[in-house]
Amino acid sequence: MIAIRPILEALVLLVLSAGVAVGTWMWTGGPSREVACDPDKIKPGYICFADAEKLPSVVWVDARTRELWEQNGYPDSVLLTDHPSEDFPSLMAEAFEALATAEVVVVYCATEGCGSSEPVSQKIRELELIPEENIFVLAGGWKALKHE
Amino acid sequence: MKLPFISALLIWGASTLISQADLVFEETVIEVLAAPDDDLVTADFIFKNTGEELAKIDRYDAPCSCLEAQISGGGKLGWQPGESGTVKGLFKVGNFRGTVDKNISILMKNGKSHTLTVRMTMPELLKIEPKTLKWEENGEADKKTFEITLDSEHSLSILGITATNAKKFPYELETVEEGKKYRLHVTPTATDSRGFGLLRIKTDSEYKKHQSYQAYVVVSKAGAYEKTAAGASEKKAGK
Repeated sequence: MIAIRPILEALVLLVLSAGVAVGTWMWTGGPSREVACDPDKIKPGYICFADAEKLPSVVWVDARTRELWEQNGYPDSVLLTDHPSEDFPSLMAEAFEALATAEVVVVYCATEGCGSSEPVSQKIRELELIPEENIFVLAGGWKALKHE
Repeated sequence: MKLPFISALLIWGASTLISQADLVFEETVIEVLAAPDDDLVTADFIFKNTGEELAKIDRYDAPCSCLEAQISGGGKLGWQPGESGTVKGLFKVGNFRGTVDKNISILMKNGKSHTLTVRMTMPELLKIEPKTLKWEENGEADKKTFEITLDSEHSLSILGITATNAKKFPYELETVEEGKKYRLHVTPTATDSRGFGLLRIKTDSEYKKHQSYQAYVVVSKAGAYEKTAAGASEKKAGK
């Protein structure tokens, strides 16, 4: 015989819990999705968004796909990605003017582990247009960006 | 009547806590050298369940759409003790020259995770040093030179040069050793205004990805390089 009462009790608990959860969400808002960044704990060559925002004449480089860059790239960012769907030399040719006049470059990708920011920032370093210490990878990737 | 239900919950919770089944990978970083005409490279990450219980993969993913992961056994997720399998990484190769690391994440049901890295290198068949020639605004418009070296393993020749701003940055190609070493000299006509240009070096490579290489020229603001280094560093230090 199936024990009905425990199942009913479990369902009641589930409904009550869901109600409390929804109520809490509506009262306090959703969980914070802000990417925490401690400048003392990030890797060399990386920078927190809060620090990058304060630097002068930053050129933001989007190392994601073109589709994502067009969708929600950081304002005035340039597309420069190692993704196989793009012709990297052509992208570099288009980005060169911005890079040649930049004081600081910050490269970001979808996430910190996407694997594109570092090779792209290395290619920018090889141009020797900007001092190495002024070329950064954004800690936390695109998720760490705050849009106005 | 409540006891069996609670007991079942406790046993289920305990079993997830004590499960130590896991997969052990022979290598978690595999280096691959792409051939000049490769569009796809593969890396096989061999693993084995060295535990005493079933090891179950919860999910696997690669952050880059350029890398696909396939698990052997038709995508089998559960691996019995002693069983071996392979996670195959299929990496699409574009024309980005250099070394890139792309990761595959394997998340196990017991909460453990593995990161597998495909380290792919696409070599340059033609090297240009430096990558950029620079002059300062209102500085001397002297001749500067790119040193070009061709890979000796692949028979290459330079077919010609095209430039986007030849009027401001006229150039001259010198053959040092045919098929091996060249010099590309650039002498700006004037440095009284800022400007930039691109020089494309065409080769006779049979590989489309290596038929064109780029070098850059720029007349920039005087002292820009040194000034930006000092200014940005001070800002970062909070001065």
